[in-house]
Amino acid sequence: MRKIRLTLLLALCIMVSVAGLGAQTASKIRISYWFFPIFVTVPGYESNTANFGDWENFMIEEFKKVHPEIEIVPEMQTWAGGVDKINVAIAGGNPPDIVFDYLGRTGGWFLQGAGVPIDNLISKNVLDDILPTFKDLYTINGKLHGYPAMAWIQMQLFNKFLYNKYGVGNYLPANGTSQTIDDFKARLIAAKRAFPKGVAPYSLACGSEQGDYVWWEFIWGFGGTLFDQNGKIAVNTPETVEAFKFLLSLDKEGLITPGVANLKSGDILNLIYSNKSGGWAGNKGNYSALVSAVKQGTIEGPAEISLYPFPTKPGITPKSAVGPTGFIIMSKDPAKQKAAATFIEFCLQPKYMAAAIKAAGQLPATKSIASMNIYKGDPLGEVMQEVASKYPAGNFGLSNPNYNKIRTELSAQLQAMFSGLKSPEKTAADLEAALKKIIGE
Amino acid sequence: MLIINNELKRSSVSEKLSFVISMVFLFLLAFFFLFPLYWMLKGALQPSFMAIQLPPSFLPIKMTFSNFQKLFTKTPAIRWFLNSVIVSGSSTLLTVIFSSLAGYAFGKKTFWGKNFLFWILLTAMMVPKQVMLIPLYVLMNNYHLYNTYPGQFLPMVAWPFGLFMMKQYMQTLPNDFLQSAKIDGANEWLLFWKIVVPLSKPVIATTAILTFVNTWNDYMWQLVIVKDINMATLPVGIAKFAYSEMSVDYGLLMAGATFGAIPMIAIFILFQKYFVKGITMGSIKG
Amino acid sequence: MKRKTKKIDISAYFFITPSVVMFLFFVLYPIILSFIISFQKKDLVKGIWVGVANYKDIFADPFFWLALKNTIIFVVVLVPVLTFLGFIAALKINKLSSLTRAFFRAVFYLPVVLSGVVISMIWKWIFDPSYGILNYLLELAGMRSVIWMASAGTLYYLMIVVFTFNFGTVLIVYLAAVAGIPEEIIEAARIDGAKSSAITWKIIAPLLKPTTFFIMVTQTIAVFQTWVVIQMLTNGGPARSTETLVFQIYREAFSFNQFGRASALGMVLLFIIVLITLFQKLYAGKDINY
Repeated sequence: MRKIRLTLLLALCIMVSVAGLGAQTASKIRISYWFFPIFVTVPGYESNTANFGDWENFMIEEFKKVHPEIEIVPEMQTWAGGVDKINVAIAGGNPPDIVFDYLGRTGGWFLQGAGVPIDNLISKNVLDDILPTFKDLYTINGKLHGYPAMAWIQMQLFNKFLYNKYGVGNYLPANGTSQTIDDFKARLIAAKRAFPKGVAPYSLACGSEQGDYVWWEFIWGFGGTLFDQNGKIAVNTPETVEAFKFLLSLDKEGLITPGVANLKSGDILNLIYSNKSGGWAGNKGNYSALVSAVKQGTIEGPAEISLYPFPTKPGITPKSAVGPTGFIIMSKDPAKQKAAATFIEFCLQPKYMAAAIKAAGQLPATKSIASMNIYKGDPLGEVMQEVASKYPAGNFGLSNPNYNKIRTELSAQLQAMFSGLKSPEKTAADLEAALKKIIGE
Repeated sequence: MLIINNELKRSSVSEKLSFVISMVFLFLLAFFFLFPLYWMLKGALQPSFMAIQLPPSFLPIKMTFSNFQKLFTKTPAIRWFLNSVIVSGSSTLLTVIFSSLAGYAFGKKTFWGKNFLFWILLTAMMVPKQVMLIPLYVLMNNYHLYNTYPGQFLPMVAWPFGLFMMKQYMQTLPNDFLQSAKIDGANEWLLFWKIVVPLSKPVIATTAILTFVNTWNDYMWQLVIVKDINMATLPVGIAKFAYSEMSVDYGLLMAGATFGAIPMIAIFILFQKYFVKGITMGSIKG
Repeated sequence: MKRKTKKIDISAYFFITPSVVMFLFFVLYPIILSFIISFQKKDLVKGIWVGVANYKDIFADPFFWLALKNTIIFVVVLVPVLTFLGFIAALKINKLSSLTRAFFRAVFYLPVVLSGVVISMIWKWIFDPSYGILNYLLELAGMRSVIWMASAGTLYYLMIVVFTFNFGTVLIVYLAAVAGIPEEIIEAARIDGAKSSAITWKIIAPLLKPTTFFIMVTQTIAVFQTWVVIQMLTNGGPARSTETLVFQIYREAFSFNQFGRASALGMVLLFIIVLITLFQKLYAGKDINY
């Protein structure tokens, strides 16, 4: 008996001392830097960036050479719960010093008081480098809440390989060609006839709040909008109803993958990467994923995609959905804030940032990098750049404090419509009423 | 025969029929339960891209160890595994000790405040964990336990589930047996260790298994309380590598899940002997 | 009349101290904090006292009542089914030879051991409308495929998944309890000529009342707290029709950062579970002596 008790006691002691292993020690100025797996195989630095997280570590190493007195402590978050972790850290009074993330979240954090304005922290010439569209998007309550580094643009993506394979490739014009709603539908109808069972001409998803911008792109194509000129909710319009009717007809006529109400963005990506869907929304990043899928032998190739601005009714200018990602500073300590700003400025240097943006398949948010024409010679990149500069960005509520609630409500209403629970008219009306309540009008 | 034993040979026709029906039902149910395991193993042993292939292949073709290779060479999976063992092992050990002590007291002893205290413990278990997450995180920070092993396992030890289970079991132990031991001169400690514990092997084994498994599979808390990737437990570590912005590496996820399931299956087998049918009092009276 | 008074056992306090201390620090204190937060409008950083406003909003929200209905349906269907089937299965399995017994124990316990995310993913594939095995089999049989996760019966299909999650735990708890029943009692009853069903319901079941109470309470809690399955399979849809209370709590806290409201929902949930537990205790009879 005594032996067992002694063993247990010993085990306890071991565990307690092992616990000490996990404790941390402190020294110079330490800045915690939290980011997500976004950058990999950065052009020009491929040998250093084989895995996610390598790029950020590389930046830190280079930074250390110039600023040895500042220690940057990186922590790569996971897409599975990483956002929750950031929320918990903030709510627990233990926020990271710098976060590199999507505007939809950084704006929310800033509005709740977790971020600090960068107007007085970042050098003036660096601040002036921000492109006007992004300056507007990043200005909250008159202050710049963070620094935009890059932005994705969501265009309409078609799997050209698939369309070619089944003989309807002629329905896909050159990249970047603007298209009408009728062009779009005709394409899907032709594809439906040609595609085998189990391969859909196109896909839509409203199973979760992600991918909300796709729906807005269609709504904009019909002349609908989220906010009117005065910033008030203006969703319940004949244009929006027409858009909803059109989208519902796609489902009813079997032109899109069944189960829209339950599909999520990730599911559609899986479909596209297994050549089971002819298209959705996307950009250059999806092309790289298709290329690697072909390389792995997952699907037939060669990978080829078509990118267009979303379809519109004749006479309506397409708007694009643009989603910026940038830096936000959360430290409350002025010394740490200044150190964080120094590091951010280091990372923003065109020689580094331009390569990273190219790796992520996104577009620059600053004048200096925009003028570098990073996608020269890259047909898909050039199309993205062209569409971004030709057409204005649409407002899908990204910088609104209630962005998450807005897009959750949108997906819920659309689910009701696609499940046959509501008519398009009622969906538009209910959506407007709900959004008004959320915004507090 | 493999399945039936003597008792069944004596039973009537209707009892034999009910036996057959229940066996069919059980085996059908078993297939239902085995299917996820089969799918997980298949996913672990096939290249990642086959997991998202639609329609999925039901047969195990194109088997490869590449996912496990990636798991062990490109990720600190061993370190994560050790962390999981330390955290789950600590929580299990402490939970078993504390909850058996407390469970026995609540089950057999009389003391002032017993009922009140028990209902508080029980009620506290009914609070959803999501609600407790942030206050607990704040407290852990204040106790300076952020990013430490105790921070990872102590909340599980504090959870009254084990206590409740021990109490329900121990209160059914026959009183006269314990009384006679007391008369024989045993003090409370000896009584507990030498008599109550051996009699409670099934519930101790069950508590150990359930605590170990719950701690091992816990995701949210482990994600939140740990800063260094080297302190992460296996599920959290795997998630960091398997989820990229545009896709999920299902092969890696399944390989990690398989790797993680091994110790739990091992613990389960280890404690099987305590589920022996019918522990008789006779074996202890002597 | 001789009255046997129970003497207070001082040693009890030593026995319970470690558990109770842990409980106070790591469970009760956070709960009290949550309770306080439920009276605030609190987001990530600031908290303003608003009294019962959160509670008022909750009761005025039709989706709260829908989630409540869903949650209660889950509990009312699943808990009795889990308890009953677990009890019967434990008895049947207990009679088998040790090898088969071990096999079933292991098999039914498997989902408990595997991570919830992995199992939910697998069920998602099974239910997939275009490529899942269920629809594949349906079409082979000449029937039309169903969009499982976006139809009228979705809530019930979800219950099947939740069942597989929880059944293993119920089974091994009952198996442990049955293992604790002295062989002699059963044998004595058989010698007296009792039938199997009588033995089951008149001897074994009453002996296992504390265990049954334990199972009903913990399974009620577990079913109430189902989250991963809902999030991965339906995300509360379609049109918020499969939301449960815990789903709403998670979303309020982590998607909308409204911790005050999330805490209030948590307190409401707590209140409901306590009510149901009291109900179970009353229904089970007063000699259950929890």
